Amino acid sequence: MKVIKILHLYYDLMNLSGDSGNITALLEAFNKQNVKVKLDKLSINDNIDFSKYDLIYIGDGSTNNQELVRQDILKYKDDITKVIQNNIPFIATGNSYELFGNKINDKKALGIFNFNSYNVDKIITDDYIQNSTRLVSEVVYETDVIDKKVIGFTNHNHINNINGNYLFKVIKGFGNDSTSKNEGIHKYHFFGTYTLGPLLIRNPYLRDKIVKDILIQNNIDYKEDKNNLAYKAYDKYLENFNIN
Amino acid sequence: MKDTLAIIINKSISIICKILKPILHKDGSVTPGYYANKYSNNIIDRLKYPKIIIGVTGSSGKGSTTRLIAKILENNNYKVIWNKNGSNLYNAAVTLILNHTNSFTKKINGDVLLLELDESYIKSVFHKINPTHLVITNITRDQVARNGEPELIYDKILNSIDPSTTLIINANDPLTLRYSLDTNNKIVKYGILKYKTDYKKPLSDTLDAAYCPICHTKYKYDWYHYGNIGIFKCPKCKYGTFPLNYHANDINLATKFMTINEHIVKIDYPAIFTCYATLAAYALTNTIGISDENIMESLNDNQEEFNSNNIFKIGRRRIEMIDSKPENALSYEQTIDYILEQKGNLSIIIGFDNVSRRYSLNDISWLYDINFEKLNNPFVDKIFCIGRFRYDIAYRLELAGLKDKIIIIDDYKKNLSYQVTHKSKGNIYTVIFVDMMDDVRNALSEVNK
Repeated sequence: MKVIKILHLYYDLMNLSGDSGNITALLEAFNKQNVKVKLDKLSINDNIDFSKYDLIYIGDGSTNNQELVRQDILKYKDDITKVIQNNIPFIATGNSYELFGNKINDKKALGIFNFNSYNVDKIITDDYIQNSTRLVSEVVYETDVIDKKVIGFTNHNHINNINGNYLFKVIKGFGNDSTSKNEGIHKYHFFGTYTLGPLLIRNPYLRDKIVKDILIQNNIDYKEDKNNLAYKAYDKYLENFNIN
Repeated sequence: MKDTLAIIINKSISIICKILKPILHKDGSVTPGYYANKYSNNIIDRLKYPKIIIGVTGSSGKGSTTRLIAKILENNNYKVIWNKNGSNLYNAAVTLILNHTNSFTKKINGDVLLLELDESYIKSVFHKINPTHLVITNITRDQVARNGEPELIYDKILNSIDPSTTLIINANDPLTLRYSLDTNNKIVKYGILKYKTDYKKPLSDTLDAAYCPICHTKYKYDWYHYGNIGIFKCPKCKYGTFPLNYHANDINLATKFMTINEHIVKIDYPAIFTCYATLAAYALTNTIGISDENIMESLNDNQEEFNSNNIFKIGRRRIEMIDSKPENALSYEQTIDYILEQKGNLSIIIGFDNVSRRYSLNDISWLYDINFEKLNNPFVDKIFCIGRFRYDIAYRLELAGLKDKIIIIDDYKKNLSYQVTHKSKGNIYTVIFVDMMDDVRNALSEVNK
């Protein structure tokens, strides 16, 4: 019987925003499909064989931790490029997806996608978070990946200049920069987004789509099952906050 | 003259607020300072301060630490100017200080000024006058929507530290400990050695500041007290919790005693966060010259302090309402630890309508930084999920393996008392945000009517 192998990359550094919840959501979804999963949690000082995995996840980190990871991840550039180009699902939430662009400020990143990330270029003033150089908001997005809205939270101190291959269209909240109507990047099976939540906890439809695609790719049947608190929480949020 | 008038304005508005408190439902701890400062800008820079000025800051535990410091100092005949109501923002400090300042000599009438300070406002309060002592309780994820990552809080405090200030820091917290590297200040370090519920391995991967700031090697922990708070050392450069100036050990929450540097002291509330507050207060007051014996005497005099409004009964069942901080996972988890320390069967009510009183940004990712898995305990009977995010809470609990214990209540104002009395057993603990306290108290009190 096929065992789905998941890698939680830099699990002990990129974990600022309840990010392990994304892994928990995936494990639960595979478990409900009666599919066995093997989870590896690897970080700095480990020798990582990226080719072993059916799904790779990396979460949000503090600026310091992102820098520690940036220094470490560069040595895997070829390996990571290969798995992404081979359409292995790769999910990067929070500031981790900046690592896959060319540069973060003046520092070299993996360069797998053609964009740069910079510090937020102006002071954001709103009613809640005064004079911040971070983009902080609740978010509602649309996406081509599923026909349901994506909800969550964003809180980041960088912006980027991604041009095309966006993951989300902004309905509410911040996108890739303070005015952008687009958010994230979606190319091959790479899903990069600043969205926190945790993203796959708050968005069971998106989680299911990712899980379903992996199962189909591995010739495993997928059974619909929406009798789950995750859907109730999602529906309740749309109801409470009048999101149509 | 302008300053004199500002002080009089502050005192007058304070008196008016006191008189109108029953109507306004505000205690006037902020407004007088706002107007006084508006009339005479930066007035607190031009006052005559006492010799000892103490600041207490950190992500959690500021209030109880401040209260215990005041208690020890007052017991030892110091006249202490401090904010009993816990207001910790700039205008609250102005109000407090001016209310204790002679309008004409501009001298503050006390031996010690003791201020609980929000981490982001230290510089604005102490921008000309520097504290002689600053206690830093811990720096953890706290209101991330407002504060950003913990390192940003660290930097804000760092940038407000004057070289003359003695720092009293929690060396069980790896981030707070960094002040001993990044400043040349006099440092006093305190820490807890061991408690019976300590862990050898971390309960989660969510540990801030997990790597040594000197050589970027991952810390090795002897013990985890909670979260990333514990006894740690860098295996390469040996930097870590030890040496300590003040260490607590032999903690017994049942008898409410522990030792500090081998002296037996009383804890006035049976929770680890109170042990930390007591230890910090001990370290601070001993550092400014109060003897071990006199501190012990003051602490041993302590009576349990609790808000009786938040402890009551429905029928024969005891209810304790705990004011939880939604956006501070470690603080929230300590509330859970406190509940699990209690004897006998118990049920819990968890809920919030909003995550903050300051802003309407509802980030709930912190729910996944809390080890709700701990509640898989045979003494925990039922967990009631209430409020606007009840399904999100229930889903988090379900993922923690607590499915059989969860009861979701849609209209808690109507149904909570019935559900709690008929469907659960044991004493009841509420872990709800302050925005729901009154409604939950009223809903539960229905049973007694």
